[in-house]
Amino acid sequence: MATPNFLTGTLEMIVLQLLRAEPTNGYDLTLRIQAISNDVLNVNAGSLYPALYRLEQRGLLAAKWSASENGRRTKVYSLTAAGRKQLADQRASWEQFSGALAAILSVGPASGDAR
Amino acid sequence: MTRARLWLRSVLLGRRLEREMQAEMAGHIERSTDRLMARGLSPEAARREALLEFGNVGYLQEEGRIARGVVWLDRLQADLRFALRHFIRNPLSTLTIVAVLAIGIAINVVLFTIVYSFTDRPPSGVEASDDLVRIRGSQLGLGGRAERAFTMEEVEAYAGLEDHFSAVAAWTSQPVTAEGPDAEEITVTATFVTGDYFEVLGAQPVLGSGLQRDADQVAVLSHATWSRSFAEDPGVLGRTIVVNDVPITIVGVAPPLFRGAYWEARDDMQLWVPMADRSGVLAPFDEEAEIYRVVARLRPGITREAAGAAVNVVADRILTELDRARAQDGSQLGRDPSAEVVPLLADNLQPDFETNARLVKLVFGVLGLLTLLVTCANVSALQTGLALARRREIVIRMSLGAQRARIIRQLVTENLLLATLAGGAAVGVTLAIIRVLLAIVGSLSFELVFDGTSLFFTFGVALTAGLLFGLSPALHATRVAIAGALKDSASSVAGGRAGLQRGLVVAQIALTQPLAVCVAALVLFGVFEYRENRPTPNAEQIVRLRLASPGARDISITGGAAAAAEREGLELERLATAIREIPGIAGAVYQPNRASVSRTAFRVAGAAGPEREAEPFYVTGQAVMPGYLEIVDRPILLGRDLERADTAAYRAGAIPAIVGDDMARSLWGDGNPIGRRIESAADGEAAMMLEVVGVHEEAIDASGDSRDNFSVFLPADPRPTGRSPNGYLLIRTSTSAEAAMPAIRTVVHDEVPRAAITELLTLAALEDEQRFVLRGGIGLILAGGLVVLLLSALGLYAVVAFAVGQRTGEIAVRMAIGARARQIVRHFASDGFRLGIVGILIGLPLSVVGLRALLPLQPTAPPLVLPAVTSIVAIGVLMVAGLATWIPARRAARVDPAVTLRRD
Repeated sequence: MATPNFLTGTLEMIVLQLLRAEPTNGYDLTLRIQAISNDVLNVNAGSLYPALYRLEQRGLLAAKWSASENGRRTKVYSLTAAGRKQLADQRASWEQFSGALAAILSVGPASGDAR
Repeated sequence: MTRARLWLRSVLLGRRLEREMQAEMAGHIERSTDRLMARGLSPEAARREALLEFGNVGYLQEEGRIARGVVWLDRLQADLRFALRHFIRNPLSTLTIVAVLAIGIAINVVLFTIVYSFTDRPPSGVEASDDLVRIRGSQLGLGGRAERAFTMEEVEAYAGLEDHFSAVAAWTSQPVTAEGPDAEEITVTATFVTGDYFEVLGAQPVLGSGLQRDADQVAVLSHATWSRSFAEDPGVLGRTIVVNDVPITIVGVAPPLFRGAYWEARDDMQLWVPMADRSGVLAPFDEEAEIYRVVARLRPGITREAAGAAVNVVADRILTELDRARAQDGSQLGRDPSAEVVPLLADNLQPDFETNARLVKLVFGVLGLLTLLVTCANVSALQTGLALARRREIVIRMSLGAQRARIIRQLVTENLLLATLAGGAAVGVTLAIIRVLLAIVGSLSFELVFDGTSLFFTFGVALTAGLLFGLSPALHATRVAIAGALKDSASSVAGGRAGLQRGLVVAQIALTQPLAVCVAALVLFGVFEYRENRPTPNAEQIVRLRLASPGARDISITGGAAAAAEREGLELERLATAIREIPGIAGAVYQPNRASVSRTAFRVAGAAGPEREAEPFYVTGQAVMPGYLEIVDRPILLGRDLERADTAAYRAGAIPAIVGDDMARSLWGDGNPIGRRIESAADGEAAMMLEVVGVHEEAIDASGDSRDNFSVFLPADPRPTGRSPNGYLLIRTSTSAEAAMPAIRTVVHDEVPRAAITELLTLAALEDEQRFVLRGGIGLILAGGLVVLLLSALGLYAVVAFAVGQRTGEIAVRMAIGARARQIVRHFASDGFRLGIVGILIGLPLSVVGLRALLPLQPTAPPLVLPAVTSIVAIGVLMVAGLATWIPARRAARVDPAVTLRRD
């Protein structure tokens, strides 16, 4: 599928990648995204949830309720086999895309073109 | 696969997932708050900051629902809640619509139930299965193909087709007298069956083990026999009943609805006995008799067509052999016998079943469709009115931002809900109608079933109707410019809005007319039938006597050999002779139940009389024995009575016939009719040539009107044909029949001691009964038609009344500037009248199509009757339309301009 919404696609990839590293709940996932992206991805913390539900509905994530360390019940998300495959696919196409983009951007201005 | 499972989960666990989502988001915000408080913020500030950080909770939850793909479910719920609130606020219009719809749907479902039960269901108490088939024999008889039962030799040949059939069973039935539990005499239908019978039909006894292979002198009772003669005694197993001096042990009781592979015992008093017992119970019988009927189960993977082809091959061979063998002993096989494989249905023993089924489907289908369309147009018109009344509500919602699609969906949901409610009500109405129907006609040859298929059909019809009647008003009501409609008070006229409503009124009239024409035609056909069914003269002096198993010999089903037929005649004539000796008896004759010629088009053959050159007329033929005419008081005026030898003509040549003097006069004027011939207009199999050998006095003259419909008498073939094996005696008394009956009983008991009298009634009583059933049928059709007409009139009235109500403002203005009440009434009435005329003109072609479809039911209907019916109905519909407009128009004219205008 094409990525009409660049950010949505990116957010999904980030979620999948982070959950592959370690299954976790929505709150901790938000903190982790914020920490890693250094506030580059400046979105509301809550935007993560619709993304999680979409991925869950598509069978890419599985969720389970469990008690966290301070006794709160939280919903812990983990990657399914389909999710792992989706992540690999997305990474491959992303790398292809960013490689192409980098190649285009590295082309300098043609000599004599300066006006 | 996974997706579907997840989707299903989100639909089914919607509430739980919703709760979980809310808990998850609340948990997130709590933890953010904790984190911010740990940084030193006050609880209030921390919570505010956490919420800000999270974003718009309501929006995100909606996004979450969209992600789960269940938004439509929430919206549906909201729409349904909204619809219910609307219904509760408008109980009267809701009830009206549901009632109108329910009646329309119920009429459809009743028609469907009859068609479905008749054309598509196995015999009562037998489970539907594609593997179950009948092997049906037929031969050419009077007026077309008739059923022909098989000889045992043929049955065995078909049973030998083991590659095609996993089991083949045969049966033959005969009424017998039996000695019941208290030594009283009971008459039951004994059905002798081969070993596989119950297995093929898949019927398990409710009590006992049933007929075991190789068992003899055992019987399975029908449920009715068990409950009537044994008071449902559970200890009935092992008891014996005596049939013709043979003690038979009861080994089972059949399920309540089970009547076997074909309904033969009118009173359901039946017992199933192994074929081996037949020769014991009914002493010597003709081994070659054509008395066996066959059901079979196809092997898995074998189609009916393949089995049919195999049966054809066997039939060709064996029928040729049989014909040769019969030719040697001087008897003969029927004309062009054959065999085919058909699905096992309740009533398809006769080869004309398929034609009848097609006709029933066509007629009922047309009636049902028209009823449904009228109902929909009716409700649609009502709905348009109501939707217009709700226009302000709709406009306000739209101006507040509701999308048009959203409101249309809301209105359609409302209509589908109405339709579903109506469907539920229709089920109740249908069951009630079926009950009344059964009470009127008694038992049917098939079981009226209301099952899952019927339910599916009911709600299919209901929802189709819901969409049909709901969509156009919904589309229409929302097609309004907000600014215009808000400005517009509810009482001014907008062209487009009235347009749809007027269109629906026209549609309704256009549909009502053909429906009314069809109903009127059916009622008229019934009345014709009633008139044709003229009473026999002196019917109260003629007695019909039927016997069950008279004596040691199975008289009525002996067959095949000429000698046996002769014996049969002698046996009955012996009884007839004895009865003739009784004082007060004028005559007695044996009359076998024989196929008759149903109404068929004929023309004069060869050199015709002057008046009736090639003009066809209709003939109904009744096959009778010599002497019959004298008994029914139709003395021979000219020529001779029928003779036994006359039946030979069925194989070749013109069939001798006795015609009435009215027919002779009509066809040949004053010329001598004897030796003249008439031929059937049909070609091929049904073609038939009749030669007049006698003229009888038609006692009831058709009072001068030139009838095109005659009845003739043909020689009855005493050979059994498989159709209704029992004959009867017709006895004529010289004085009162009632007085002679005891003497007749005594003679029967003396002459044939073991026979039971199953019927001893005057023809007058029998004909009364027939007429009663016919009257009931006519009444039922008439009642149905009137209900539809009433529905239509009500719809029309409601629409016009509503339109008038909407235009009171306009009327008030008109009256204020000087219009008279009469002008107002004329304006509205002529408007309604115009709509009526347009509707009738549009409906006319439909009426013609409907009549064309119905015509085969009564080919003899005088040609002028149908145009006359159409015109009368058109005038009637126009009058109803006029009345439905006039009443509200008059009310409108009573508008007080001052009051109305002040209100605005």
